[in-house]
Formats: sequence, C-alpha cells, structure tokens
Amino acid sequence: MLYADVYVKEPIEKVIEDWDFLNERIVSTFSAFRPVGDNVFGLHPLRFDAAGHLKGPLQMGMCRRTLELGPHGIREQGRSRQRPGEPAIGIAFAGTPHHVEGLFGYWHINDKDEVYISTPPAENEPPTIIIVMPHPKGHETDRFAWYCERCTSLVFMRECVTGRDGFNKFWPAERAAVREYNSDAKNRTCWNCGCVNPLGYAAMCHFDTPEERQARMQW
Amino acid sequence: MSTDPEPPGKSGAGLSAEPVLSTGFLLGHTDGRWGQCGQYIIWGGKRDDDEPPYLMHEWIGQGVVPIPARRQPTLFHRVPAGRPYHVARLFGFWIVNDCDALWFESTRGDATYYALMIGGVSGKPEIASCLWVCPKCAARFNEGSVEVLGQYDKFLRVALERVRAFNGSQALRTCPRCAAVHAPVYGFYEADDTAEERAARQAA
Repeated sequence: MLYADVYVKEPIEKVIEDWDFLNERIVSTFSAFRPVGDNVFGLHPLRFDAAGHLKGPLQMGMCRRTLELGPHGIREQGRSRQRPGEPAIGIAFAGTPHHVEGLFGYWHINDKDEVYISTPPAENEPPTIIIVMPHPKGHETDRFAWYCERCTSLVFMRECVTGRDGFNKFWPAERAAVREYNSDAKNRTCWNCGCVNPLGYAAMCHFDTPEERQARMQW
Repeated sequence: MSTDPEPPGKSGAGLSAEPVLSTGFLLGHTDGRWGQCGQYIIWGGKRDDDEPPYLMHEWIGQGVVPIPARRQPTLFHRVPAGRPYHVARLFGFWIVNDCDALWFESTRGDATYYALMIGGVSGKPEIASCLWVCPKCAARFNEGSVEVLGQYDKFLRVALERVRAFNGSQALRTCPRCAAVHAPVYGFYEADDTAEERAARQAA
C-alpha cells in the first residue's frame, strides 16, 4: 500500500474514537438516535428469536411498509425497494409526512432529509437499518401529525423545535404528542369526514399502554 | 418493490405502485457517479471478490490510518469535517470537506458494496479541498480548494485537472518537507483515466 510507511502504529481504537458505528460495543448507543458531528444517526441491527421471528414490536416496524403522504395521497416509500443480498439506499425528503407501520403511530414530518441504508443479513451478521439525517438547527422542527385514514385531512399535529431545543427533546415531545392525541376521541375525529381514527403510538414500544400496543398491531 | 394495493389502516386512501416523493437505489446498480440526493451528496458502488477492494484512509496529523474493513462484514465510519481522507483505488488524491463524510461498506455474497455520503449541514459542502499526503513523512502538500455548493462534480473536474498537473510535474509531486517524490495518481472516474492514471489506480 502506498501509505504503509506512514501508517499510525497504534490500534485504531486509540486514535479514532468510535471508528465503526456498527461495532457491537457501541451500536446500541444509536438505537434511539444519537447526534454525532453534523448528523443524527439511528442504527438498528435486527435480532431474531429462536423461532426466526424478529424480536419485539419495535423490530416489527422494520419489516413492514414505510408510507409517505404526498399531493396525490399515500404511497409506499421508495426505500422499500430491496433486492435480496444487496444493500440499498433510500432518501426521504424533508417536509414529507412519513409513517412506518408498527414502528411509530403518527406521521413524522421533519425539516431534514432522511437517508436509509439497509443491509440484508449475512453469515454472523443480522440485517441492519441505518438512518442518517442532518442535525436540526435554528428553528427547524420535528412534527407529529395524524391524517385521517379515510380522507387524509390533517386532524391533529404537535411540533418540537428540535433545532432550538436540542434533539434530546424529541422523544419526550413525541410521547407527549401521542398521549395528548390519544386522550380525547375528539382529537382523532376527522373534521372533514367524521371518521374516528385509530390511536397513535410512540416509537419506544416499552412505554405502550395496552391500547397503544393494540394500535401498533393495527397500522 | 411491493405493489400491494391494500390501503394503510382499515379504510385509508389507496396506494400507488410507484413512489415519487422519496427515492432509492441499490448499491450494486449505480452508474458510479456522484449524485445530489436532497441534502446529501452520495456515491455508491460495488467491487466483486476478484477485484481489489477499496480502502478508506484518514490523515490524523501524526500519520495515516487505514480504516480496517474486515473485522466484520459491515462497516459504517464517520470522517469529521476538516479531516483529509482518501479511498485507495477509488480516487488518487485526498479530500477535505467542510462537513462530515460517511463511509459505508458491506460484504454480501461475492461482492462488497460501498457508499460515501457527504452532508449534514445546510449550505454545505460549500468548499472542498484536494491535496496529497507524502507517503514517506505524512506531510500534507499541494492543497487547493474549490467552491462546490450545489455542484460537487465541479470539484471532481478540478481535482482531475490537478491530478494531471501533479502527474506532469515532478516538482508538484515532491514533498516540501522530506523531498520524497509521490508516485503518479488518478482521478475519481475510472472511465476518464489515461494509461498512466489507470496504471496508478491498479498499483494502488
């Protein structure tokens, strides 16, 4: 190798901290999204139980549809394109409401693009989803929205100014928005068509109420 | 992709077969060009097992660190803004970006798949720099910067011009600190290689 004479002799762990985000020592620190440098990262190696099923409801979202809402209604996101055995990249553009079935029970709208890298399983390595998004800045927000499942009218929305308040405010704001939405059937009732929409649920499934857990299985 | 017509929820709006709002691609089926994908600039590619792999390097002041690829099948590595990096066999110069770069590689079956993403800050990358590192003393030299906002391909064109000037001048290839002469180098797009650049890429 051209630069072999000037390779640093020390082990890489000593000269570059966290040099591989997928290293088993640190990968779990990215499970609930972690800001590092210019970006926020979510890393999700998918684990299976002895029967070969994905473990836990949170994982369930990874194998279900990702939907996005545009001017012509609801569509399945392009990142769903996956060829067996080959990693893929998907990009969800800023401002587009998106929802992953079973993973989070609202439509997420953020001011930053999200990039997804998905790898299929390999020997001794589970399939993995990597989510990368720019770190929100200034007045940039994350929004938690619910659209009517029948007519797609906006029925309820809450906002977190993550750019100003910090990304660590995202999860409390998300849970508060879900609980507020679920607290009154009026919040879920479409002003346009009268449809009473299903309950929402947060991404962290271990906080689910029984009703939220049921909703997670529903949409 | 799935064309399942079943609507979300119990009675939701119908699904369309083709996505238009988001986009995606397979790392083994790219055209090998850089692309602006929303707020990121992304390159993706693949090397079969019978081809020598790409190897990411970082310059950290006291020397060069190769990013080892074979400890586990998949690697995801961040290069902080401002730190020079070079990927052997992919491009024969060093790049400095004013925002983070992310390197992904994953071995699956008989191939290794790669992605390099630049971005994360609004309005960047705005400036990209091209430089070389002395293979004998690790000094940085012959550095030049380009405004690249919204036109990263411009950087690659300028880098190729600088590669050719570098190869054409022993003075430019001579380390100002230790006087070692750097070997000839190559640009980013293999299809643009001259015979000398192709040989340099193969020797890397």
